Amino acid sequence: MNHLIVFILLFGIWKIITWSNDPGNYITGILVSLFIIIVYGREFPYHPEHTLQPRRYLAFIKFLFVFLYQMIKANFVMAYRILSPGPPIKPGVVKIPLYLKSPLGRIILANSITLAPGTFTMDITEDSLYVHWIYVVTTDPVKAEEMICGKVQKILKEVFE
Amino acid sequence: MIDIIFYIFMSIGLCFVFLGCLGLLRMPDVYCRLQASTKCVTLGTGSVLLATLIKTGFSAIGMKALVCLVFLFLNSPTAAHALAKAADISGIKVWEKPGDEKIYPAKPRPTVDIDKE
Repeated sequence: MNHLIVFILLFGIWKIITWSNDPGNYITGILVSLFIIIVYGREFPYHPEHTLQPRRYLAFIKFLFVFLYQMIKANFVMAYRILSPGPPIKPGVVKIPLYLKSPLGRIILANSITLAPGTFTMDITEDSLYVHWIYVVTTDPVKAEEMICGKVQKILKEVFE
Repeated sequence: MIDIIFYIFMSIGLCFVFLGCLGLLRMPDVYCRLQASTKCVTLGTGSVLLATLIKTGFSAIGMKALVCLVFLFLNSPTAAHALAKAADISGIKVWEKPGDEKIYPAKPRPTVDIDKE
């Protein structure tokens, strides 16, 4: 199961990158993917059974929309901060609680915080994230979590757990 | 028509890349500079890649641009995080605006001894 998922992923990426219909291309792709899954196949998806549950995909699509919106907004906010005289910033580090357990989920959460308006992840520990915030509004962990993550953490919990 | 959309996306992308570089010059410390460059350069480069995809359509080049776009969104925050963590470990403090020194909340995490890790 694990091996199959990794194989489909690798072969898909290979086909997208090369984008040709040559039979030799298929054979090379299959051989290389097989070699890679023999070596690394066991290390990937932690819960292979999760890939068969459609509600996770729906939640992930929802996450993508929230993420894209946040990212575009982040860019305009950043552009405003860069262009206004005497940059309107008040930087500081805040600690926010992290209740997501899955490693992949944590990576995606940290990355989406980095691309969200005005924040970026500096460090991660077992149960908290240290976030550098370019305009500190509150230092209370729970309120800060609400302001920085919004719904993202809940959606990712749906996707990965 | 495709050409017009291509030029629009390309100009947006170049504007944001330029803003990212300007941010690098204007921000006071390493963390703020990372913020500026990560965010603006991600959307800027993403937009340039998207323009390439629109111009060439779903050909070998266009699909490579699409894959680059996905990897860019995965890599750029990770690189920023690595730089920030390295800066943190080597003891660079967060810049404080002169005048309001009291806002500094969460003590940054305990410094790690590099030799031990």
